Amino acid sequence: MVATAAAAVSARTERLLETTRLVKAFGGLVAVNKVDFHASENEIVGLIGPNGAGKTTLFNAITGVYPPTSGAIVFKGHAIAGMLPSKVTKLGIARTFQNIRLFNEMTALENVMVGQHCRSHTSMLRIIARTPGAMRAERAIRDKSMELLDYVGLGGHGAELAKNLPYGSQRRLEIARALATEPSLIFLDEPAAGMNPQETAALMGLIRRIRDGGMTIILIEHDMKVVMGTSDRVVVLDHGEKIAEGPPQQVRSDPKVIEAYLGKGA
Amino acid sequence: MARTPKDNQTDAQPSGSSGYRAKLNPIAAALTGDGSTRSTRILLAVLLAIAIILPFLVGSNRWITLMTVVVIYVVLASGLNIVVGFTGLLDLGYVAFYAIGAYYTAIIFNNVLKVKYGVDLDAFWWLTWINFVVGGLVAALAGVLIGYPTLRVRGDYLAIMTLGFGEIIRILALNWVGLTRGPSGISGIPQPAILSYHFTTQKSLYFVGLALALVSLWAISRIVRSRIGRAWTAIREDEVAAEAMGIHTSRYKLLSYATGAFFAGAMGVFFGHYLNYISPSSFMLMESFLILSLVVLGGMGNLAGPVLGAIVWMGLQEWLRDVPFIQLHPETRGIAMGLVLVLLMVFRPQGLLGSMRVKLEMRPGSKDESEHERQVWSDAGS
Amino acid sequence: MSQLAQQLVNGLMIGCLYALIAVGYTMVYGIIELINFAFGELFMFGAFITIMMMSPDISLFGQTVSMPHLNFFLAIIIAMVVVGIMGVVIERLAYRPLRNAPRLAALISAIGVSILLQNVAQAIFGSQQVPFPDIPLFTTALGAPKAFSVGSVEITYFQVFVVVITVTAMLLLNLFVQRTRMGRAMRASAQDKSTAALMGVNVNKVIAVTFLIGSAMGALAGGLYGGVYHSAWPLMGFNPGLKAFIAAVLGGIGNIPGAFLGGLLLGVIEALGSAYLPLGSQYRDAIAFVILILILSFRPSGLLGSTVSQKA
Repeated sequence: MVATAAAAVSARTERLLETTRLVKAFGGLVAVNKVDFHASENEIVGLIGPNGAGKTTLFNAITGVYPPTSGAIVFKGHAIAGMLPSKVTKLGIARTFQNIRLFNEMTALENVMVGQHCRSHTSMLRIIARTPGAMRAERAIRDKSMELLDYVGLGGHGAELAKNLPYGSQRRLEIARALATEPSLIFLDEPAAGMNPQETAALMGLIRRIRDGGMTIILIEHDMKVVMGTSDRVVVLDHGEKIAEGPPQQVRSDPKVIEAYLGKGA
Repeated sequence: MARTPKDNQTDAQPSGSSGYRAKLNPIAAALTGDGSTRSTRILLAVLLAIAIILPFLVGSNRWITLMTVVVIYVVLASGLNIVVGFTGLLDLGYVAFYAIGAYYTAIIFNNVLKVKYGVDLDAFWWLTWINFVVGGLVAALAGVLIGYPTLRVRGDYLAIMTLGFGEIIRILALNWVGLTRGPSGISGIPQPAILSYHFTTQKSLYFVGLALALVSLWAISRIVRSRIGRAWTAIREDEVAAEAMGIHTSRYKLLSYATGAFFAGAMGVFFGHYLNYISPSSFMLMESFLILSLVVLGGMGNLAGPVLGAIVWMGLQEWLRDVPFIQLHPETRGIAMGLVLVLLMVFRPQGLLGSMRVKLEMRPGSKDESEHERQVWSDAGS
Repeated sequence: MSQLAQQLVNGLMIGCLYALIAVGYTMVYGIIELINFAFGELFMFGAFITIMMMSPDISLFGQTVSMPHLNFFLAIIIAMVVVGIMGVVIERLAYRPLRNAPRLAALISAIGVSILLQNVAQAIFGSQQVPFPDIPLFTTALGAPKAFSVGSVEITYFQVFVVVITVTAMLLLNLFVQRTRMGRAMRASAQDKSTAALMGVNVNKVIAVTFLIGSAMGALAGGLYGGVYHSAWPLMGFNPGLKAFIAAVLGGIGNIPGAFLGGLLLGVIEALGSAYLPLGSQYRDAIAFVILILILSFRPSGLLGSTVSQKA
């Protein structure tokens, strides 16, 4: 008893992100219904559920795109519910988007450099004067961004416009851009969507490498191979409510989960 | 994280806008944006040479006046380009900032110094130069105030709102007679001067304008090719994603308005001292549309587009002004402008130079540049 | 008190004119999300064509050309038809190619059309005011407008006519939109163009009809305006056009009764404001813009619009 309680307490203190009874309603439609969700440091959490279960809405509520209707969100000890997305990012949460949202008319390198924006603070006057400090900061941004491009496998493509990149590269570019914000936690929204098996395998490797680099990852995916193959823990949403949570193998055989995906009587 | 080789292959075009070439032709390098091809820089150098030499070659003041007008609109278009082209905010009330700068200097010199304190304006020659900056800052402040209500509003509504503000400023100028003398306008704004030398000739005034324009374009180019420019472009491309990547979009939108407004205000100050007289009729809504047309014609979202648009259109317009048919039928100008806008949008929305893009990075200066990189670029030979 | 009533009457009447133009804006915006800047100029052409049809002759491009000399009612109907067609042509040439282009492009094109039309009108009719012929039915033998008094408030027959026509037009339009097949198609397209297309709606035709009706309403407003203020000039459309758009936003963009309400409200607020606010008459034009800023800041969906979430 004591051992598990202590373990529970120490597990709790390592929680990087925690939502408590989070609700997001759009008028009459309750998209996220009193969800308790957490992620611990260095975890890969898979978030699954049938379409419309509220997964992306949960992402959006946590990252500040929508203010939650009620409930608390705590990240690294800060209460972030209702905070501006840019502030949430500065605190250390990054994300990719379900439908890729790159800056199409900017090059791949510039896209990633935008991610570094919040990590440097050169003032306009210094920028106009091109002070040595300003140049150093810019150089650091550029170098870091090029490293990230290499890291996701896009080294050499920095000068291409984002809109001209093939689909798989675009997904990887979005990840590089998110990583450029130097997050502690990263939300990946269906990163494997539309990828062929080789690309998917490479993506899984990338996800693991990111986690090994010290990051926490929360992953929405429909591709079960990716989810089961990378996640330490899986959370299942259906109709806005959490219906299951646990290690991948356990969740996959949970009858409630099967029913949610396949309907009653399956 | 993997190490990257310094000899980066990500740059397809060797950029010559840095290092020793930048020292040779800094303005050309600054303006070209992606600064890549030698031909672009030669073109700019030639343009600059023309700009400087031409006034000495032409006999009449007509041409010099034309060039001064062009120079003013080059800056106005470039300033609006920041807001519309780079940040994607359709500001239809831009002329208001131009007016604010002009009225600011007019009021300071006329109402305050001359009328209220009865001071000899010659002694305040230095204030003109300071007013370029201060007038710009006042306009920038107005930009923030005007921009603030537009933050939560969608593109088309934003356009109408900014149009409304522009009109409100004009109506104020027309009716607040105590401050602005209403429709009669304010006269007696002194010409720029340095100590006892007065810039009275068209030629000398032109060079003041040209100098202002060069400084403005240089500053705009530097601001855009930096993290600020990247933030603005990101907002234009996808505001939600930009915010998610840590850009405080509200703040950067306001910064965009303020920066665009600053340059309009500064040119407004110049306008006042150039004509020695301003009135609300110089700041009608059609001016905002005209400036927008220049940006659209030349190409939004890069640095050279507005410059070219201003040169082509204003140059053409001033040049054709004496043609009898056009004098008899002033509406041809409007018909041409309307047609140009529609045809451009339907057939070539990127404008004349739109396919060029600005590289949104600060290129390292000569001090920072590594010997290796200099080698790479000089080897590339462009 | 009587001044208040008089101002209300005047405001109501100009409000009707705003409402007629606003309806066009709101319908077009509801379907293709475009602010058709050119509606102000279509209003202006409505006035001019009415004048043309009513006069024995008119100066076009500087030449005197003889004209049908028709009565007012026939003239205004012809104007509505002609301007309606103009609207359809404009849509086809300047807006349809940009249907899938970024919003900025369509908006700039609309501005271009507006500038073009203003200047074409100047080329045709000259830049001076052109007098609007008196309408025999509404004018006394001495040339003054026929009017009656309620207390000390003077109301002209024509003002009544304007209100009656406007209300009738609104009711007819509402019937059309609610009860006819085309009206249903319009409502469906306003909700979701692509789904409507999948359901067999010819969206292009719907949009053309929308422009036809909106432009015709604008022309009607123009003819009526000419009757009230007895003149027309090429730049007359810009201000009313802008204000009508603001009225549409006030009432709730995309909402036809909203446009009507917004137009009336704006007309009345303007009239009262210019009469009672200090310096009101000079700042009259600014009133509309202030209303716009307030509405967009506090209730962007307008008075009758539903609150729609801003984020896509």
